[in-house]
Amino acid sequence: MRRVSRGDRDAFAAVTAVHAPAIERFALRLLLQRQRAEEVLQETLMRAWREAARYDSDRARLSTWLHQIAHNLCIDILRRESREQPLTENADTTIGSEDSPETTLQRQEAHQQLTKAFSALSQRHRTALALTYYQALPNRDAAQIMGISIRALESLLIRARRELKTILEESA
Amino acid sequence: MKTSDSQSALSLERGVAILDAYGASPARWPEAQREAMLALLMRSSELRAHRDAAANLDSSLDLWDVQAKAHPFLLPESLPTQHAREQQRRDSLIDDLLSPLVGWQRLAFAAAPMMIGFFWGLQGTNAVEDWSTTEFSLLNPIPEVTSNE
Repeated sequence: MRRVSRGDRDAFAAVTAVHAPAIERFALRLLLQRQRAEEVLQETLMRAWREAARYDSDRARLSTWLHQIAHNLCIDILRRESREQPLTENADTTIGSEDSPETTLQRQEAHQQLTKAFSALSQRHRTALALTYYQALPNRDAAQIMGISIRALESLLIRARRELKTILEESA
Repeated sequence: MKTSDSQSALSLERGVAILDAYGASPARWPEAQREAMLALLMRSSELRAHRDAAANLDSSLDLWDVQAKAHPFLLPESLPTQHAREQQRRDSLIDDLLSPLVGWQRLAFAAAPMMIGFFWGLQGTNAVEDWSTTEFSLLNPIPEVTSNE
């Protein structure tokens, strides 16, 4: 990142190649909209480029720092959108599969069911699950991104998983 | 020895909380408690049943396969880093100061402080050649004459 802060575009390209897919998946799980997730990814990378000199490797890992930027952007969008229209109405997280048509159909059904279940969770529950379960970040990093204690994170995770289980059982 | 201490310190209640929060995969458990958790699982059938239930939910969660699109991020050529922006700001400040001036005027502007110093030096007090007289006059000022009418 020191090279990036000095304007090294090649170094930045290497950073984006490693981290961009994870950031996009994270934004997609929070926002449930591909277009919005792509916007968040673009803005996250732009900010990382502009503010690279501010990154302190002693305070956070690079992936944590990038997730934190993306998280803040997602929160802004969710707050803004909740006043306009709910994102869940046009949830779009799917992408083409290379499996057989039957398997693809089954996967798509399960995928839609889960997208619906996730959209029913609160934003904080969804964020906690996305960071620890799907992004596989250590609990310390996830708590840092959300600005809460590890204890509070665990409490959110327990409630999120219980709620999700209930929703999935009811819809089955 | 530290490991065995932490293993014995992990209660069943804490084990259940870890499974409820992080799921069944040890990779997601808090690193500091992973070994103790595995040891506790070996001992407790109740915890193993709990782990199976957590694994069930995990397998459902794993179906939510969200993929990122493979699109390269193109950084706009015109977008500078913060470091470059600060440099630009300094450059533009100097440009703003010098912008009304052209060619030879800028040179004169830059050389002005040096010329002022040079002429100031030339017009300074004359050098004292005989220090003994100067010192004597400084140390022994002529007394003021007062009339006592």
